[in-house]
Amino acid sequence: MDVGLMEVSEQSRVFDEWLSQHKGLLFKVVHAYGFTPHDREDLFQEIATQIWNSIPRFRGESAVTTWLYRVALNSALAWSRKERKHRDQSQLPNDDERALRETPRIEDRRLGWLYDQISQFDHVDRSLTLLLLDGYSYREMAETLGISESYVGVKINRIKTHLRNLTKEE
Amino acid sequence: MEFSELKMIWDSQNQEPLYAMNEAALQGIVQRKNQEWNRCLSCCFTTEITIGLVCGALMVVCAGMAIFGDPAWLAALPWIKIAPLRWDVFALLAAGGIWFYYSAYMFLARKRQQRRVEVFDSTLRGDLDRALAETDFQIAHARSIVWWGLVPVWVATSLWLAVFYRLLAMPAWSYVFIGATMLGSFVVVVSGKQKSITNRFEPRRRELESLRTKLADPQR
Repeated sequence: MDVGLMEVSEQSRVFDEWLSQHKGLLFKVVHAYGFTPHDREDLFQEIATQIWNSIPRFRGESAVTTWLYRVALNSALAWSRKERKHRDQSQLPNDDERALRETPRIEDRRLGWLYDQISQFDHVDRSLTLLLLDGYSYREMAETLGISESYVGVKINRIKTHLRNLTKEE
Repeated sequence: MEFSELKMIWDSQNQEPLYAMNEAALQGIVQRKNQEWNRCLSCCFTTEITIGLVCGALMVVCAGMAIFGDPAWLAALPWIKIAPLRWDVFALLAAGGIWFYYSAYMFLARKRQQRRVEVFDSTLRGDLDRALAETDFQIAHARSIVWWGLVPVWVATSLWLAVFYRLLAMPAWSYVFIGATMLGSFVVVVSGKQKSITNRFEPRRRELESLRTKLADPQR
């Protein structure tokens, strides 16, 4: 796809298709970086906006999921830097305007614990942990983050050891 | 607990989505955000470029009137007390040229800014490098616009005011007053630019660099 040559209707179709197929991936990033409903709504909008803007630049050199992960993680990093999470909670939009709604579900305490631990990591380790838990290879992680595979290996070993130690403490 | 067990816990959310998406609302929000951002950026540069073109054209028209205008008609204008000299025409043409130069400077700055986003690779590090390059551009632009944009505009405005005041036969103290006002506004604008560098762009740059260092250095 050449930049600037994509029709808006085509961009819209790709956007809808990717979001509906890969929304789970985006929700994980949103949940790992946003800690209140307002944060998550705001971050989800930010990620969706970045995906929309980046679609014409997608050249199919990597899998769609890898590419979406990169856009989502990068948007989450940029969003975290802006520190919007401290914004007034009363600014939460009404139900009609909200793009994301938390579904009523059986709360898995262990999953909540895992998200809590991930949220304690620094930005790079958080990104790597999400990719690791979603089964991405070292090569894909290296490609997504723009670092060497050997460095990914070093970081992943540390993250696994750290998580293992945390589960022992629990 | 082994990592494989953590992965099983993690995968459990795939069967049970955490959120529901309101697609219609999302499309509307995305389009609104994009429109706002594009409108804002485009509006800022278009305003600067238009101001340069309009002021430049105005100066040239004034110079043209002084050169080609009927002297009797010029003398009949109630606000002109003194007939324009050749020096006044040169000053107006110089001021016009400077305003046109300012327009071109802002136009090229906008083009440079647009080109910046295309050169980095599609990785998180590439995006960080792009964000750093954009921040560097904003710092460089905020610094260079003082000498290459604001000073010339200040000179152009001073030239125009000098001609205007001379034709109005204004008293000497008014030159001092307007000179002080011009100098004061220049200092305010320059210090505003400096503050935006110190309080906004440089902290952002430091944060991006620290993130990039974390990505690059396995020992951290």
